[in-house]
Amino acid sequence: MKQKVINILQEIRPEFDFTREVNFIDQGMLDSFDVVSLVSALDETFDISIDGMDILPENFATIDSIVGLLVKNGVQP
Amino acid sequence: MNKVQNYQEVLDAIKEVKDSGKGILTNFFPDVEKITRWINSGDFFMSKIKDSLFFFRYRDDIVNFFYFTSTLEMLNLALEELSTRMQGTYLVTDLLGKQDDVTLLEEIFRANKFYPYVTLCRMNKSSQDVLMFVNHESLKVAGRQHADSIFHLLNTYFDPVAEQLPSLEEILTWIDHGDISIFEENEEILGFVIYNLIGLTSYLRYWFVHPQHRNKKIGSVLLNKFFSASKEVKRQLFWVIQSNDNAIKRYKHYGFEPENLVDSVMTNKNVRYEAKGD
Repeated sequence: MKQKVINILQEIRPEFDFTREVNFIDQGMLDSFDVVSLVSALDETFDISIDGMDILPENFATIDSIVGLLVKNGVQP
Repeated sequence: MNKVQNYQEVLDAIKEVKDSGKGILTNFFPDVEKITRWINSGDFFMSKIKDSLFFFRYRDDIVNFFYFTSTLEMLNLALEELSTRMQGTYLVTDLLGKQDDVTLLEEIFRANKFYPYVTLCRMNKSSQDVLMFVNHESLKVAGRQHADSIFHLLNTYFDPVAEQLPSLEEILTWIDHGDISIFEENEEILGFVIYNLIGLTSYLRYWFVHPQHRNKKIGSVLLNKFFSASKEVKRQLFWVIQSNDNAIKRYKHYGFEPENLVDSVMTNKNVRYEAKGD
């Protein structure tokens, strides 16, 4: 699952290395518009509908937080 | 319509709407700092209409609004009532997303007596060129004493519908962060550049040269300041009027490329953006 998420992120913002353990939001690697694209791609890839309340920057700050969000939405780890 | 008292009210209202439907459709991307500023200034309101949520930011005679709902159908129902309830108020909203998605939203808004005002597209630059930054004696970092002039210039020369112009307080915050550079001669601001550096990304917010002082390379000095400040970042971003071919061509010359991300500004007045010069 982690690799799928990395691939999606890489497609959205190919100029950044998402395998680095940094905060993607604080580092400016993702902004609110990217988050919208990311939510749409995650919904489509994993056939889920991410809760509106979860569309907050902190939930997309790291690979682990994104994976946590997917698990919360029923994706098997 | 209720005046929002604190940020938690916003989150609670979103949760309520989300719990009542499936999916999300929104142009509201909560930025705690910005929303809190609007709440504290008493300019931020919200209203729930037919299971959809609307947020309103009042500024002078314009009201920017944001929606949070589940589906296009729900948005359509709520907009119908909103446009009736707020007839006579100058409503402005930004439809953000990929071009195809925004086209669908535009149809809904058109059906509810909204009109396209202008469309902006985001451009980005990810390559790093070798910079030949040349300092200029008239180029300086803005101080708090410049805030009023910058605020006045923004409100004089920028379109308040196409742009959600910053408040004086926001300008002061940017000045405190060193995010505004000015080109000043004889204590007159002839141009300025405003940008924000966030980690590996820099956002060019405003780039301005006074109409009486154009074609003097002032714009180039200011833009170079932005490039110089952005030398450690990996991505530089800004929004430009989509139909402004000349500006887009110029930005492409500097290495920027348009993204498939647009901002369609819709209003309930049948007027169109008129360029004041770029």
